[in-house]
Amino acid sequence: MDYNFAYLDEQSKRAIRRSLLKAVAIPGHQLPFASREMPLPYGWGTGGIQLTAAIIGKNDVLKVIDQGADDTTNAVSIRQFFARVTGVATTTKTVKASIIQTRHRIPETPLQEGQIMVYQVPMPEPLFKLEPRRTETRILHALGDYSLMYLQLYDHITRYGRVAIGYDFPVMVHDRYLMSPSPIPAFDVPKMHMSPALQIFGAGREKQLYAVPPYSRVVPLAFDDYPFAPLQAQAPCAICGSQHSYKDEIILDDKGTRQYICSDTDYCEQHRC
Amino acid sequence: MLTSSSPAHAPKPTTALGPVLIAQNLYFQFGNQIVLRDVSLEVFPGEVLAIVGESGSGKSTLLNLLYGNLTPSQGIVQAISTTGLQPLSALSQQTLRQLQRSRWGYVCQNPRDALRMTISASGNIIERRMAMGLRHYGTLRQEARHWLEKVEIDPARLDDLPETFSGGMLQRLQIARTLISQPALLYLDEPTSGLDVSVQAALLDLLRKLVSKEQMAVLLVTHDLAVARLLAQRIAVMRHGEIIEAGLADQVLDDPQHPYTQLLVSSVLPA
Repeated sequence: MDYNFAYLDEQSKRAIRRSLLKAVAIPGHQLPFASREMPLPYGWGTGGIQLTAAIIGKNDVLKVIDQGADDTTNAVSIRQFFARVTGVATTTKTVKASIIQTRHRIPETPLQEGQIMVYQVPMPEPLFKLEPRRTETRILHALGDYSLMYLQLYDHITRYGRVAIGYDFPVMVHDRYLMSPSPIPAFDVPKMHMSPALQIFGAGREKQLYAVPPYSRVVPLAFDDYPFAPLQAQAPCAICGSQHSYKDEIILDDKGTRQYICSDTDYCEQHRC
Repeated sequence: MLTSSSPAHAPKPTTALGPVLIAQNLYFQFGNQIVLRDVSLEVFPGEVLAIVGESGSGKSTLLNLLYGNLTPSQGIVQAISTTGLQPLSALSQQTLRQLQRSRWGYVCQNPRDALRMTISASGNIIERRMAMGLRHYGTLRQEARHWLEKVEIDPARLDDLPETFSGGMLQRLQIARTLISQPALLYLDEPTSGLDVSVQAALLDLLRKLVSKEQMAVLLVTHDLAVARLLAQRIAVMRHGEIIEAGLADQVLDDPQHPYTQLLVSSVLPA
């Protein structure tokens, strides 16, 4: 069966691009968009796929990662999907890609100007656990009133001695909007700050998208006396020996022996000694 | 002592002269039901004005109008904001909210409506300070402990969830959470109604102490004349949506003029 280039029809892609332009103009602000039914379930990246479909052109080179890896089910199938419906070149190399669709990670290799990161977002509203009413969170965003989120950080420090948010760490974008960075580890959040790449975020089920233009300030929330301090595995990668990358923890046997390996497979391959 | 922020919130000499809140000829209706008729009042800094009356007389509706939660169908509410006396209807939602969350305070009858029950007591207390931009955990904690002591709750309960508190303690917690921003105007909506008599007395004593110390203007809504007598300098009696009698507390309670006030005063059970 023949599909239109990038699966979605031209008008749908155009509508998404229009929302994206607006999103880029208001960094960190969530915008509704006409999210379509996609040929895969919600939660598998329908938001990210629609955004990629809307922006991809014939000369693009696409990389898809899931938890940092190019070879996991979700990454493989989305990459194959776009290879089939667009015929564009795909790659696993971060430096060669012009569009990187991602779930849960930002590549370790620094991004460059001209690259576009597409994030798959399950829940775009950073305040949703604290304020269930969408109407109310909209008001809080409009007023820039984020004391609720600070209240949660306060409670974390009180209970756990630190801000125990391991992923989806709330960030302020350009000193204005509180934003969910999608469920990337807190470790990756500093990579968003002043990134030369355009970063766009799509939530298919929630029908919302938002964006961080290149060279925008992205600052994780923190208290003056409790600065942002993400956790990191204390062991080097068992494959490449990297000390600086984000690791997956792999349990090897029933005795609890564990091994740490880079979650970014492309980075790991390049640094193998 | 945490006095660093108090000078900024102390009543300014300009506001000490005039009223902090003026309501003129307020009317309000829910559909065809007229709830308030031609209500006017003024509140001055450092005084407690009690609004008494039976349930259904429009007390709480009036309080909501004065707080900016409801808009009168006729009439005008003016309040001191950062730029002087201004009609509430002229304020942006943002300014009104800021006013409500820092320069005003609202203590409601049921503390569970105001508190965040899943957040620790200290977190509840310092929420307003964080909304005002304080971002230092150590200072926030110190302020929380300070206010917990001020409302006479054991500081050991600092990090307990409000769920584990008794009714009286919850109401104290709500008061601490409200007073921490040192509001110039405090709205009390039946603050002691759900509490037993001994707890009521202790709480009223505490409120009186805090209010007189901070020179706040207080609007107290209550159906309990004893509470009004204890706290208020002035009393306004409401019935069927109108203020039928107003004056100094002693005057109204000891020498009521209106037949309804006489009935109200004479129907208080002797202690």
